[in-house]
Amino acid sequence: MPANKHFGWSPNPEAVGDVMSQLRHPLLGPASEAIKGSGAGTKALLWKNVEQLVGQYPVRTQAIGDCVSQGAATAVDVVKATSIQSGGAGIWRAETASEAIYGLSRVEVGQGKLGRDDGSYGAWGAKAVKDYGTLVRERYGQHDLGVYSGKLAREWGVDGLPDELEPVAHEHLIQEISLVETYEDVRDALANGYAVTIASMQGFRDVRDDDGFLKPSGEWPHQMAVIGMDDEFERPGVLVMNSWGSNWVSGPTRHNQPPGSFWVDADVLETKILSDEDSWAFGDYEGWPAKTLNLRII
Amino acid sequence: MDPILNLLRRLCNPGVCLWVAVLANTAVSGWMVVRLTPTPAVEMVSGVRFRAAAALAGAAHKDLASLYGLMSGLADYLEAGHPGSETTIDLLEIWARALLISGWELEQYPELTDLVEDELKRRGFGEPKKLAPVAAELTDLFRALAGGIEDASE
Repeated sequence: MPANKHFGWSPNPEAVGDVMSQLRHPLLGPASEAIKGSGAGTKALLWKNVEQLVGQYPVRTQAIGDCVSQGAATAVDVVKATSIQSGGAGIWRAETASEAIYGLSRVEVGQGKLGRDDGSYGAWGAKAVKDYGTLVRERYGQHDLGVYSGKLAREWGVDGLPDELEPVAHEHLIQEISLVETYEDVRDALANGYAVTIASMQGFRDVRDDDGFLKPSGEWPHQMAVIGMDDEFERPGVLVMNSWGSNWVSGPTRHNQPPGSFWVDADVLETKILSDEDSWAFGDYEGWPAKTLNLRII
Repeated sequence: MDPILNLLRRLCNPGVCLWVAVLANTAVSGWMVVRLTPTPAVEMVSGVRFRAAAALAGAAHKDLASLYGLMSGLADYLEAGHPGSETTIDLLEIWARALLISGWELEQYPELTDLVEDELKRRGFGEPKKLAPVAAELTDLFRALAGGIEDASE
């Protein structure tokens, strides 16, 4: 798989199909009747749940071609923080460690097929967090995950997560993953506190327009995460968090979005990103139940 | 075991506190609705209170008494520390049980239903939340609604 330190994804319909064949709900659309339409005309600024727990949003900066695990870890953070802020079980300890997801996706899920080349697939990252779990940025015995290490990610991407850490990771699973195909899928998922990873070949410029959106341009074989949506605004769209640090992009922002993020128009998301068919919703409950409340209470 | 302590424990059982608050308020609200002290002229009437009164113009006194009991009971329960409710989801579950006990049917006054829904949504209660940080805000809202019900009875 060709990858440099900014990217790390490529299309692999066979890998996606293999993962989908093992899921009870392979597609979000048919599995999400309970939430269908719930995001129409609303907004969900889910990154603010992370900020409320940790202060400043933890912007990631990938050092190798491990964008898949960076995007997956970002989505896990948003799902966990939103669940905790909504009164769900669990406590926030630290942000999710991408190195563990990288190793699990490539070795446990991908069976080492990628050898020593960097990279992974969206489907593998999603299956890794669902079936094998996650670790956070703290020390686990001799393994210090407190600070991101591209070197460690590369090692674990070849050798896999150390055996002694696998049971620990398994205690923190993402409960549900499904492939997303439309803007409405993404919008409704976000409206209910679920996050989405997006992987495609679509690139973008690096200066946001007046509304905070980036214009599509060029090719990025890349995975990122959707951490917010705004369907109230005259330009419906989603907020995408990249893993290239804070300063790669400039220009106007909206809703106090984190540095390093940008808005993507709904039609661009659907026709240029989701169409590559390796974008996944992550959920903290089985079966995509509605988490918006019925307020017709009297 | 001390019977008084037993009773207190029973009253603090999740849901029971809210039922007690609602039923107690409903029991006295018939009296309150006909004997409300006039609102002082200097008091600022909130938009919610005004719109609640408008939504209930012409409502039967029996319904106003029930609604007053429900709304002020909910406010009392929140003000008392909302025992048994950690989140807004818990609160809605207990509220649904309280409605069942009281015999109140939803959407009898659609304008009031719309008003309550709009006000809750506008304050961000469409998503589940921990209750403690927002209990005071909810208390104020339900007190304003109860005030509107009082006004409608005059």
